[in-house]
Amino acid sequence: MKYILLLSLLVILIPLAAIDFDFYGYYENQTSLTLQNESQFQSYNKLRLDFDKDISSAFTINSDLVFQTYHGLRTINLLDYIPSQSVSDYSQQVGISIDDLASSFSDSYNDEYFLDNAFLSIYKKHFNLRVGKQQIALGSGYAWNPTDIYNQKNIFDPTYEKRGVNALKLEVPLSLNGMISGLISLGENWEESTKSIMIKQYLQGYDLQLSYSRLIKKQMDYYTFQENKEKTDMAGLSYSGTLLGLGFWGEGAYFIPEKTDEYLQAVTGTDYTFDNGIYVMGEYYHNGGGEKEASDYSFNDWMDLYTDGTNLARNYLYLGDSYSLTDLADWSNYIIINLDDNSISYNPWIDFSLSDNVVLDVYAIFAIGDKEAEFTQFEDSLAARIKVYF
Amino acid sequence: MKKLILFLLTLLVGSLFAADLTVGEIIKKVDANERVESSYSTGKQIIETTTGDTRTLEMETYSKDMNDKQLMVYTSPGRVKGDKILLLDDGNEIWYFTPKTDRVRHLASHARKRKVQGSDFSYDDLSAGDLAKENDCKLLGKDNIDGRECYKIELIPLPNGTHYSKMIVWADTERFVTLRIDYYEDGDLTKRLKMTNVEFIDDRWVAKKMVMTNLLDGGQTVMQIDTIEFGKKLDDSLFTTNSLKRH
Repeated sequence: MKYILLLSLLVILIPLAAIDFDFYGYYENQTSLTLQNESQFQSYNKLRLDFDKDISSAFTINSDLVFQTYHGLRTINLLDYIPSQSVSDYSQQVGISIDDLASSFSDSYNDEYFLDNAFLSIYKKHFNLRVGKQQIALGSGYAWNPTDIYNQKNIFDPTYEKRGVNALKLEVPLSLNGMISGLISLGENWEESTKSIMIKQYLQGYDLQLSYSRLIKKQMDYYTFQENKEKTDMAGLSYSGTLLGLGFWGEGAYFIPEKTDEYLQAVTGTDYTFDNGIYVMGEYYHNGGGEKEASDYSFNDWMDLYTDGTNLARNYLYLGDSYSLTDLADWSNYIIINLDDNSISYNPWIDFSLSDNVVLDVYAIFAIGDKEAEFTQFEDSLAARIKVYF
Repeated sequence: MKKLILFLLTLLVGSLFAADLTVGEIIKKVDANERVESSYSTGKQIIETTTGDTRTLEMETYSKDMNDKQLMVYTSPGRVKGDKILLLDDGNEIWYFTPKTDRVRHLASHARKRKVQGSDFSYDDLSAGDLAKENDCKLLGKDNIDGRECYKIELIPLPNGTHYSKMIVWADTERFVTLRIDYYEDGDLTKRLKMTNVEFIDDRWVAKKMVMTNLLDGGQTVMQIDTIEFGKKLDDSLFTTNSLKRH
């Protein structure tokens, strides 16, 4: 443990002390405006500073610091984003008035600075080892990655960078395009740590990956205000390739909890680029742990959505297209359909390249559906995000 | 004087022999000049838009096994720094890696016709595939490009070839370096690639500047080689998906 601490300190301090680090990063500002009820602004400024150093051909250190300030509406009441009937039912069941509940379910955006990634990589002929806070990307899905138990994904912005996960990753090549890897993200003890083993291989035009993970699934019960922990195993499969000229990918995760029911989460998708440059894609997601109807959404389900990003229903469809408006601007449309409660989210998105290192994204989120449904809880909004790399 | 006569005779005899070359032999000679055992180069990709804006990307390119394996690593600007494109099997298999998400994506075959980093080059254009194996070739005759005599060859891609419906290639009759390619989609001429700044480097002719013009919208992208080294020893492991995540 001492060595890990020492290593972590080195990883953090060396970038700050040395002057010959490769230094780069970006500044990002995002401002959004809600279009319903009272128009409200939310904004943030983010500065990311990256420090990389190749110690030798076999050792590298990568790290980045993030400074983020929030402006405009900084405190939200999560109950405002849950159907009033569900809140009312919940209030009665726990015997607390809605007004009193509001203080317990407010969420604030506080200015923050943190070490997002800081890791040491060791590259040897027969293995690669990465230790520290690092990005982990698992699975071939676009909007959902059921096999990625290490990250939450925002379906409204699925390609946005993920936060670093403190982990140790060992990769051992099996062939030129095959690998076995082990991953552990430390918890308080071995039992609480999340462990995965993965085998991936490129085979006849397909990237294939098999994985097996053991994790402690934590779920807050908002009726008892107790956190339930359950040891869970997950068997995963992921693939991507081409079939009949179409891009084709899929991902499945079969969860085997120790006490509760087993369930499957799976994604399958396809995409195509037409000769005129129009790109289209579609992805279907089956969430075996989700509910079949909006009336089955519990208060806990809603809170899981806002805290863990776990979708409420069983079946979803994600459709997208993209087209170059000019050499420097792309227009994309994304439609997310909850096939069980029939709510729809439509997200038009335009990105402009303003210069070599400046990108402006302008996008909107519009929802259609019943007032008790999933996507109608998100207010219609417009947002602009500018990112300046240096 | 003797030397001059000998030189002129050599040229004359050479051109007489060249005139007899079949299209297969010409393609073979072009491939012999342009497909190399291994190479490492640095260069720039300058995208010139129809509105006059430019975007400049810098990159390193590695190739091995007669261009069967290629790796492009973007080094600048910060927006794309560290992004990598791995092309295997003459560009039939493509992977894209970006360090921003630490994700390696296998691109489907249809993605080969997509623009690379918004440039006028598609992934298909980047992969210097085996011309004879991937196309039905026909010699159309001779033509003149920028004062150089060229063979004019029609290439009709086979099912394992590019997404274009037809390509016309102009190859220098003496240096066997490609000087121009016209790309057709559904019978229409859509793009034109012109090669200039031809230099003799390490026993082969190299066009250090390539300009791809999109004839539909008028945009163009310049691909410029700043440095190039042939015969560099490159390990096979460099051209694997496993190595893409290496910083």
